[in-house]
Amino acid sequence: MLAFLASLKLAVSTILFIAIGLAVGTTLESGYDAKTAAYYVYRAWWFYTVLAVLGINIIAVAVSKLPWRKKHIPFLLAHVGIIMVLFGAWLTQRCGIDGTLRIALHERGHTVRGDKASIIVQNEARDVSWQPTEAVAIHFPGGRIDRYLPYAEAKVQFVADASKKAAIHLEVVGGFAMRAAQDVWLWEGGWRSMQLGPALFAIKKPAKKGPGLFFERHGESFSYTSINSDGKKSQGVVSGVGFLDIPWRGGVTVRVLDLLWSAHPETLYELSPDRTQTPAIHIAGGPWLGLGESYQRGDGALVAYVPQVAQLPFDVQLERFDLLFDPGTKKAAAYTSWVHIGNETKAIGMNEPLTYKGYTFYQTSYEQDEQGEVVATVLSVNRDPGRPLTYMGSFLIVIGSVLLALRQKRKRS
Amino acid sequence: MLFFMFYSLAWSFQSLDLVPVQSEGRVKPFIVFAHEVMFTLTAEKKLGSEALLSFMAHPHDWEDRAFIFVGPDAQKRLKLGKLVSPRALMRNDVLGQYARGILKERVPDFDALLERLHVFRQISSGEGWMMVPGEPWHALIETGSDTDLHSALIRRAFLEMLRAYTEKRQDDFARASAGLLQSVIAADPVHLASVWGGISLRLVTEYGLEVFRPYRFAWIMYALSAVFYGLVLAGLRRLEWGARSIFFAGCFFHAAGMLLRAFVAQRPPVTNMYESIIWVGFGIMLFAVFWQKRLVQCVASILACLCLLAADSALFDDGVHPLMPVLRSNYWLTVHVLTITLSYAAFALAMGLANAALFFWKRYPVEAIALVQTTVYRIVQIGVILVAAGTILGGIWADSSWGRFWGWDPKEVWALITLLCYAAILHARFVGWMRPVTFAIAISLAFVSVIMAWYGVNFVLGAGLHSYGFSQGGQGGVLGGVLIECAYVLWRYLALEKERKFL
Repeated sequence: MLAFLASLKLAVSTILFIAIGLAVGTTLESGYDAKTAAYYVYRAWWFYTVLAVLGINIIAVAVSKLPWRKKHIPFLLAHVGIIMVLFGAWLTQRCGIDGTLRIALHERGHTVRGDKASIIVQNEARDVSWQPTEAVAIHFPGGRIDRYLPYAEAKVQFVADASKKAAIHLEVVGGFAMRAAQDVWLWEGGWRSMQLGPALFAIKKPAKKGPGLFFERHGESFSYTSINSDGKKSQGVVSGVGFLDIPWRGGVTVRVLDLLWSAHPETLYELSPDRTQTPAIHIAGGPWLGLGESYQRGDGALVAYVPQVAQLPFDVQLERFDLLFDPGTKKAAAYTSWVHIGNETKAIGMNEPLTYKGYTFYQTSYEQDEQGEVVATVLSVNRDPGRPLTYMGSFLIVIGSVLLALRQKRKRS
Repeated sequence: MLFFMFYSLAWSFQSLDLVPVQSEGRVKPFIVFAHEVMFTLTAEKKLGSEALLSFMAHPHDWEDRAFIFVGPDAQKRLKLGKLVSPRALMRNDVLGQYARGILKERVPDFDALLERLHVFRQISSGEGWMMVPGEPWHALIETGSDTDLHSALIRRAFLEMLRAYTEKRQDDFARASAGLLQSVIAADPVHLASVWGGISLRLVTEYGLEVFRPYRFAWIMYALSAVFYGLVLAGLRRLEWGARSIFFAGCFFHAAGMLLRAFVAQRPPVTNMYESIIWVGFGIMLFAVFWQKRLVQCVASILACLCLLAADSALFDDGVHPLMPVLRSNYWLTVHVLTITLSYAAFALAMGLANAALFFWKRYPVEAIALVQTTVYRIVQIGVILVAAGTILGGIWADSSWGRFWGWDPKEVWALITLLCYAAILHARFVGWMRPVTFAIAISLAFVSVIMAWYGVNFVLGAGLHSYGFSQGGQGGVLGGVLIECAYVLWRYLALEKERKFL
């Protein structure tokens, strides 16, 4: 058994197997995204198993060479280094904290958001957390996730029911709506008005001043009154789906897309092409939930879908944020957060992290408002108990392989 | 085809070529800017300053001329040819819808086309000529009036030059463009003039590099050196000194180009595909300088020549661009990237030597085996140490700037795959599974993993954090190279297998 575990045949096949697996991982990342690659390869049980086999193989080879002599030193250094790196990675994975901390300007923050997400069910002792991946069927107490969107865009849809509350779905094109068509939903159950540019769309009595489009219900029909910016009125009846005759300027057209006499809204999520959007999940037999949303289940328990968070044992306050551009462009060249931490003001910049009480803060990005003013900083927070092992192991690998190469040269000559 | 739009070649554009312009966060000589603009528009590096001037002088003629490059995806979806006129682009319905956000998807090729259209408009209207120094620089043609004397002088000199160009007055043009150059420099002498008057050394250097193109001389020298060393190896010992001097002349041009570029960019020249190809070529030559063996020098010359040819062709963007903030650490950039690229150089040289050995294996088996067992083996060992050290250094850099040593980024992963491939080969050889021929074949093929790590991650996979290097170009050439290499190895394998005694 030891002979097999210590064999180079096993070593070479394990190395090649890892190489091929990694190549598949990068292909997956290119075709889908990093989360998928992590789920199927980098954080998959089979990959951990192969790494464990490699570790066992190295230890077995080392054991089989007992008692060690001076000539074994280069081999031992390089391969103990590999074991240390693997063990350090395991520690990092197991006990490390890695997340983001967003602090608005002049505010304090201590809640670190990890890249994992959790389902929390009221009155259940255990939260269910998972690495975000595309292809999961996560079970939690009393339910199951059956769909997952890594980048989700919320969309409202009206579903017919017996509430007797009517909904009107309009499409507005041109004029202040400018480029693309705008969707407007009006609903008697709550969404009675919506402002679009200067114009008001509402289910209510016509206002005195325009511009606006007002609907009034008369049993099984709607009448509408439009007022343009000069205060000119025109009236009509919504007979069903189709264009409304509105003499507004700028070639604005309004079309009724749907007319439902008894309905309520439901939020749907669609896959967004924008990869900065947050994810959403669908509960089997339940609703869609965006990150941070919750709903009350049939049995009365509250189910929440939230990012996994960790609390820092201290506060970090953002005092100032410096942003420099490349000359003549709007491309950021350098940025620095000045934070108040433990009674001192310190800088966190690019390639200039800050370490405090075992936590290291790195400048990651920042948020701007529409005027381009910075409103918040985004820091990565990291605590990595595996770091010393990783560094030590790396060092040994390099020293060991240099010694191995030198020794072979001596042997030949 | 394009040249009939231009006047005779006897015109002197030297002064205009030298005029400082600000673009993409950097001040550069106009010729560099012109080449970049024309590369953006036409995906070729042929036309320079005069084309930009002509855009402004005859904007209406250019509107109908098909010269804007259309990417393959856009060609298919917009039903356009490879080159298209600005007007045809403006009239394309699908592109118009895309520009207004009606098509709810992102098409990189469309974005590139819209960008090209925008760039053309900016140049033909004059709004893209950032020639008036300031904070930031201003365009020649801009809404609002002149704010000071310098900008008024610059604008007047430019209009004079443009008029002379339009009216085909050569002498006036030369005078006016010299005047333009002087007035731009006079506006900000602190940055643009050198200590002893005239234009700053950095601008002149960049201009010189753009016009002289030292790498072109270097690859010619390398090609000659390869031939000479080939002849020496064939028995013409008298050529030894000639071969050696040409070899070092090539190295001189190569090194000069890199040093001057580092001076222009104020950072080590290792930040994109173009620069890394040049550095890998140089790394190969460094190995060859220290490996005093004619065959090594011959093979290294061939490889370095290929590297510089690839860099000198228009496949890759050769612009000096400002770096992403996270990369602005000259120390880490130098240490990490140079180590990694040196390992690529070692693996490339090992591959070249293994190929050479496979080539003359039948006739000189003893020499071939000696070459593979000593030189190739040793170079691979050095490569493995370098790639391991470079990957670890990258991890330390990533740890200090992103907070994680290892994050399964594709570039990291492929560096690791490269290391694993070569480590597997070395281990297999150590147990005695590999005879010299098998070892040579394995070393030749393992270079594919280097190609993936070096080029494939950015240009084929196109994912991950090392995205500052992403761009298009050269896919066909690289794939062709890989296929040729595989075919060659297969051919040698079959040829040797027939003899049986070596495998």
